[in-house]
Formats: sequence, structure tokens, C-alpha cells
Amino acid sequence: MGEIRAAFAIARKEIRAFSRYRIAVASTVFTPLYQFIIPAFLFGAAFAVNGRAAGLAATVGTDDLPGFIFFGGLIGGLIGMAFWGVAFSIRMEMDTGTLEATWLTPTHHETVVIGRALGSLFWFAISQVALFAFGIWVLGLRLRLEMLLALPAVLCAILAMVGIAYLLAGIVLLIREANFFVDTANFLFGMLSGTAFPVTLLPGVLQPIAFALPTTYAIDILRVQALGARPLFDPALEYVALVGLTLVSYPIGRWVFGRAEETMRRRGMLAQY
Amino acid sequence: MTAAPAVETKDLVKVFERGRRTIWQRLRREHDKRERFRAVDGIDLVVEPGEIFGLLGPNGAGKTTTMKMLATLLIPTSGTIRVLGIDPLMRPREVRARLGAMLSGERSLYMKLTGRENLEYFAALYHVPPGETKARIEKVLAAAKLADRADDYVERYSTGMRQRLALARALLPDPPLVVLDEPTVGLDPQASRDLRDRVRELKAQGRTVLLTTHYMEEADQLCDRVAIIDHGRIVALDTPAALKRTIRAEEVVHLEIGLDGDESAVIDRLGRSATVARSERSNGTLTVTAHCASARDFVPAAFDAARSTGTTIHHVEVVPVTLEDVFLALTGRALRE
Repeated sequence: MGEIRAAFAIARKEIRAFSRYRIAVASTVFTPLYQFIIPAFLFGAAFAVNGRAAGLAATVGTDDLPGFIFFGGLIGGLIGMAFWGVAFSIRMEMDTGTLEATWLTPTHHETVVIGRALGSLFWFAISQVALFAFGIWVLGLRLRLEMLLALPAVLCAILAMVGIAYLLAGIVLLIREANFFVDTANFLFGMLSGTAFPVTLLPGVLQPIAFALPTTYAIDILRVQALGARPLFDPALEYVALVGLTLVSYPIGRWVFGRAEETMRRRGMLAQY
Repeated sequence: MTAAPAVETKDLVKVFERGRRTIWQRLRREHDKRERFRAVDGIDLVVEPGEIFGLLGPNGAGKTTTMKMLATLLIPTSGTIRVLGIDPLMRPREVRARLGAMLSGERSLYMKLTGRENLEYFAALYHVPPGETKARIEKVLAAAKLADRADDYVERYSTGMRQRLALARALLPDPPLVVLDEPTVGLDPQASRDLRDRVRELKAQGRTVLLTTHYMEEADQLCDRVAIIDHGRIVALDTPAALKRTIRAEEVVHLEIGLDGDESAVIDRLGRSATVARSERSNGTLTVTAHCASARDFVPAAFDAARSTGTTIHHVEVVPVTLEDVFLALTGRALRE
């Protein structure tokens, strides 16, 4: 019970502290808009034939370009949450000196990751509501009731990204160039998951990596349910892969995080700011 | 039955590696050529319940490293530790639940939260029962004299207020043991006095306080016992009064002597009337620190020594014996060097 309360306290602290940086709050909506959604939409529209995304329809079985981009962006936002909202922000706490005080409390250090994930989920939800509203209002995004059938896949992706957040937090606490690592790895992870384009277009050598990521299946299930897109594999099989990879991501992530924590305690890295 | 020590360490050692070992070197299993540095080199310590115990030493002596090992933030290379009878390596969370720690001071606070919000956050992390949280926060805020500023952002606090808030946070779990790392560094004299008063209150409440400092006055005024640390080792451990008695001097005389030639003759002459603890020459001035039984007897002898060696005493200062002099006598160096 104490750990659950601690996790929610960490989330509340994240929400409170972040809400006091107004421009940063606005950037949770504007950054994905100008860095991903608008360029991807314009790029797709430039290749449309008579206003129809014929190439997209031939590749994935739907010509709903806004839907393809926005549902990819939804999972892309989850990926960003794990990379920036959890892993990098824990590193930022280490650099500013507050992580040491947090780690002096009896709360499990793993709970810090969960708490941050909860806080980041709040901002993720806010930004997605704003982005989808923009999509419906400006870009002609249409939502179908069937998309709710993909909710289990989205929830599974959230859990998978928490497992991956453990792994990332373990890595960024130990490396010096955390910003570069998070920026690059976030981009690669999103690209390989198919947030912006179908993973079938990836070079053959990269496809096995794409199929090892839980988010690839979450995006595909979401697009199948919400847009009627053609699935990569049998959807039941995709669910099995998504759940399996989610279950695997937890023990691996927690093991890496635990090792990183021990390394920090052995080398005295916690207070190296 | 006597109570278990609040802190007990035996042959505590912490070795750090300097430099980096690349992944390539690890993969090739190359010999680890990094330089080893013993930050803590065999410390034996027993801190009794209810005392204020000070670790006094210059920067880099190993005080903070010792504190961090006690506070579970660092894993020792070897040796044993018991904090309130608990092994922090085996049961770190139990130690943290009973320990109030202020290690990195004001840096450890969230600047964009108010003082109260900081305490609410840490109360949850210390697992303070929800029903007690509000009262506990009000209590520590009042004790820290921050009740009227509790709803201001911490970024608007002075350094002294932030230090007091950091100490208030450390007291949230109502800990029997409080560890403070350089609690008055960066504070003005008034804020330092306030913080020292708070530390005395903690002792009056029956808590054990373990603090590090490189301010001799702080250790002298606050601590029941002091361990003087240098190069990771305890070089002396006793009450401040007993430590000062070890140098067998009642007074300390600082002399500034102007001279052109060799200083050995005048030092030799001074040494006949007192113990020359330290001498340093800079730009034609020889600065001497001498420990003596009576300055009234030594100062005239010093002027005689100067006259007979053709030198001139420019300045004389007589001060009582301090822990600084103890450190000087033990290591040949000043605390601030």
C-alpha cells in the first residue's frame, strides 16, 4: 500500500512541477505536431492521387492517411513517454541532485519508475486529446467506434513501455551522453515500430528488429481495428506477440535497472552532478 | 542491558577507480589499468545513541563517502556496517526508514514545488501514515521556522531556508538517527547558528546526530565526540576537550617574522620554548604556529629568538587551543589546505 501511495505521490509531483513550466506543457502538443504529424501528413498528401492515398492503400489496405498518422502517433507518444518522460527525467533528477534524496527514502527505487510513468501518462493523455481534436478539426481525421476494440492493445503497449522504461532508465543513469542516446534511440524505436510508415517498407535487415518490438504489434492492431487496415500477421498472433513481448520486457527491464542501481552504488555515481 | 550503538563500522574501506574502462577493453578482457584511490581506508567507528558525533576533516578526507555508505547510497569495498543494529547492505530499506539524512542540502529539493509540497511528496516516500502526514508536516515546518513560508516555491527561499527545509524533510520519518553532511556550508553566520541550534534540539529530543564538517568551531561547539579524519583514516577520536588536551599546550601563538636568510636558525630557537607545529615562508615572511604552555612566557622568548637571529617579529596573535591545532599537530597540515 505504501508503495502505491508513493507511486501516486511521484506522479502528482511530476504533474505539479511540470504544470509550472507553461511553455513545456504547450510543447507536449506542439512538438509532435510540427515534428511529426504535419510533415508526415503533408508528405503523404503530396503523393496522393486525386486526393486519395493510393500508395498507402496498396501497401496497408487503407487510404485513411490522417488515421494512419494519428494512430501511429498515439503509440509514438507512448514511446516518447518511456524515453523522455521516464528514463530521461530520472537522469535529469540525478543531474539536479534530487534523485539522491528520493533514493534515501524507503520507497523501492523501482517505484520511482512507475510513479514517473503514471505522471507521464497524464501528460500523454492530455496531449493526445489535444492532438486528436486538432486532427478532427483541421486534417479531417475520422474516428470509428471499432477503434475501441484496440483498447486492450493500447493498454498492453502502455505496460510494455513501462518495462522498456526500466531498461532505458538503467542505461541512461550510467551513460554520460544521455540526451544524445535518448534522442537517437527514441527516433529509431518509433521508426522501427512503424509510427510514420508501414514496417513492411523497412529494409529487410531491419524488419526482424521491428518485429521484436511490442509497439509494432500495438500500432498494427490499432490500425487494423480503427482504420480497417490489412494486418501484418493474423491479429490473434499479433496479440500473442504483444503480450509475450510485454511480459518479457518487464523482467529484462527490471534486471537492467537493478544492475544499474547496484553499479551506481558501487561507483558512487548518484551524486556526480 | 546497554543499547546497541547507533552506528558501528569495522575496518570500513571504499576504493574508487579513477578513469574509465571502455566496453572494448571489457570485451577483450584487458587488464584493468585504472588507478585505485582509497577514499575510506579502514574506519572503525562506534556512535552511541543520543550523542552528537562529528566527523571532522578537510575536503576529500573521506567524510562524505563514509556518510554515504552508512546511508545505503554507496556499497563499501570491504568492512562491516551496522546502522541502528541493521546491516545496510542486507536490509537497506529498513535503514532508510529509520534514518533522517541531509546529504546534498538545498540541491535535493524541488524548486518548482512549495516547501509544503516538497514535504508532502517526501512524506509519502517515507511511508508516513496518511492520517499523520498533515500533523507531521506542520510540526517539522514549525520546528524549522518555515510555517509562514510553507506555501512559497522553494526557488524563492534563501539558502538558509532551503537547508532548514532539507533538515525538516529528513525529520519526516521521526528518525532516531540523523546524518548531516556539511550542514552549514554556504550559510551566513546567523543561518549557521540557527542550524546548530536545531541540531542541539535534535539531541535534546533523544536523537543521535552524526555530522560531517570541516569547520573546527562547529565540531567543537556541537559535538559530544569528534573523529578527526585524514586521507580516509581516523587519526584521533575523543571529546573535543580531550582532543585539545592531547597537544599538551594551553595556548597557540601565531607569529609573522620578517627575514631575509635561512629560517632554520629562528625556528630552532623558537623550538626551545614551544612546539613549532607549523611554519611556512612566503615573500620574505615566515609564518609560525607554536603550541606553548604559556604565551606570557613564550612571546618574550620569541622576541629574544628573533633578535638573536637577526629577524623581526611583525605580528603576534595568541589564541586558545582549537581542534584546528589538534589536526595540525596530528597531520602537519591545516584543515583548509
